Amino acid sequence: MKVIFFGTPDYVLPVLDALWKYHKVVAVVTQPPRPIGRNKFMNYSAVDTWGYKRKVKIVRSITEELPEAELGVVAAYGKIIPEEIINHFKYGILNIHPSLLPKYRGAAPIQEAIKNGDTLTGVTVIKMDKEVDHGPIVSYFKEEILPTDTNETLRQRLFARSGKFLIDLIPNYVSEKITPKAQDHKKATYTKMIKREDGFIDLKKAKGAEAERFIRAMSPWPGAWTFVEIDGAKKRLKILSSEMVQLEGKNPVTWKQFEDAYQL
Amino acid sequence: MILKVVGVKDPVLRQTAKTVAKVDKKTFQLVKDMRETLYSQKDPEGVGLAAPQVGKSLRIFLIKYKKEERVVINPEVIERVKKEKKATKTKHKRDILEGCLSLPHYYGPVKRDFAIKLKYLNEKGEEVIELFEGFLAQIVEHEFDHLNGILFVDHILKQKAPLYKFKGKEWEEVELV
Repeated sequence: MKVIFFGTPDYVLPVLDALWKYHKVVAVVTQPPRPIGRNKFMNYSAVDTWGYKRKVKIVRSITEELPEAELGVVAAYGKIIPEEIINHFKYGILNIHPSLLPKYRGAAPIQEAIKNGDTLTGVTVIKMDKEVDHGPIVSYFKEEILPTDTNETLRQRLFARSGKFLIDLIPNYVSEKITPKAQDHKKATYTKMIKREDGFIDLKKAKGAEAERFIRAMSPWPGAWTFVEIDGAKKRLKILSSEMVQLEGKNPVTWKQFEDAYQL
Repeated sequence: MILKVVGVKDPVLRQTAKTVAKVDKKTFQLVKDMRETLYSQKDPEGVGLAAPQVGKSLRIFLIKYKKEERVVINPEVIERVKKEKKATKTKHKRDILEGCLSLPHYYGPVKRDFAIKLKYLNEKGEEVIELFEGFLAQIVEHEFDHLNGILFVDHILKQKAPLYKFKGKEWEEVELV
C-alpha cells in the first residue's frame, strides 16, 4: 500500500523502517531544519535524513502538495495536522500515540506517566480526527514501565514495538475487520509540551521518590535542575540522575562529592 | 584602535558607500583599526567587517576565516556562480546560519550564490582578481552587500526564511518587523 509517514525525531524511525519494509513509503512529512545547540547550521530532522538516504520525497511544510497515497501514519510529527490532509487519504491517518488513550493526550504522555509513578503504559493507534489525540481507537498494546526507565529508554521501547504492531494491524484495519471504537472522552487527561524551564525542581518541596521519578521523566531533555547557593551566589545545578549532579561550568560528580566539596 | 561597531538601525548601513579615491596612509590606518576591531569581537566572533559597520561610508571590507584573511578595497563583481557543480550533490547539505556584527545574536539561513569572482585592490593598492567559493563566498557576498546598503535580514525577508535569536543556550524563532 502507498503510505505517507509524518514524523520528526529519531525514536520514531523503527516505525518508518517497518513501513518501508512492508509498504511503499511515497513521502515523509517532517519538521523543517532548525538550529540546534551551538553550531550555526540548520539541522535536518532524523526523518528528513532517513528520507534523503533512501531518495524518498521529503515534505517540510504541511502546505506543500502531497503525492497520492492511501494511508497516512503519524508518530511524533510535532505539529497539528489539518483536516484537509486527513481527507487526502482513502483510509485516513493512523496516529501512534505513546499512552493508553484517553489517558495522557497531548505532547508529553511518556514523561507524565513516569512522573506520576505509573507502572503500566502502552501505545494506542487511533484513527486521527480533527481534534488532538481524540479519534477512535483502532488498537493498543500495553508495556510495563520499569523503575529505572527514563523518558528516553521508555520511548525507545514503545516505538520499537510499534513498528511490528502497526504492520500487523494495517491489513485488518484496511479490510475493516477492526471497527475503530470511540474513546471514553470523559476519562481523557491532557499533557502539555515540555519546555526547558519545566526541568526545574525544588528539592526542599519534592519528596524522595517523587523527585527521583521527576529526574527520570526529564531525562535526557530538558534534564532536571535546581538552584543551589554557593558562596552567596545562586547557581544552576543539573541533576543527571539520582546519583550524579553537575554544577554549571563544572564536570559531573556524585552527590556525595558535590556535598563534600561545598560543605552543604 | 578598536572602533565602535554601529547597530542595525544606524543610517550609515543603508547608504551606498563611496569609492576609495586613493589607497593612502589614511586608508591604511582605517584598515588597521578595522582589523583590530574585527579581532576584538568575541561574543559573537566575526568573520568579516565592512567599513560602513564602523561608521565609515567607504568601499572597504575585511574578511577573516580560519587562515584566510583579506583586505578588499573598491571591489567589483566579475562573475557570480549560482550553484556548486554536481560532484558534491549527493551530500545532504545543511544551510549555514548567517549573522552580522551589527545585529548580534540573530541568525538566519540566507541562500547565497555558491561562488563570486571579484576584482579589487588589496591594502597595498595592488589590483587582485580572485574567486571565492563556499563559505568564503558567503562572507564576501555579505560584506559586499554592506557597501551597497544591504543587510542580511533583507534577504531573509525576501526569501521568506526564518530568523532566530540565539539566547543563552537556546534558539528562538523571531518575527522580522
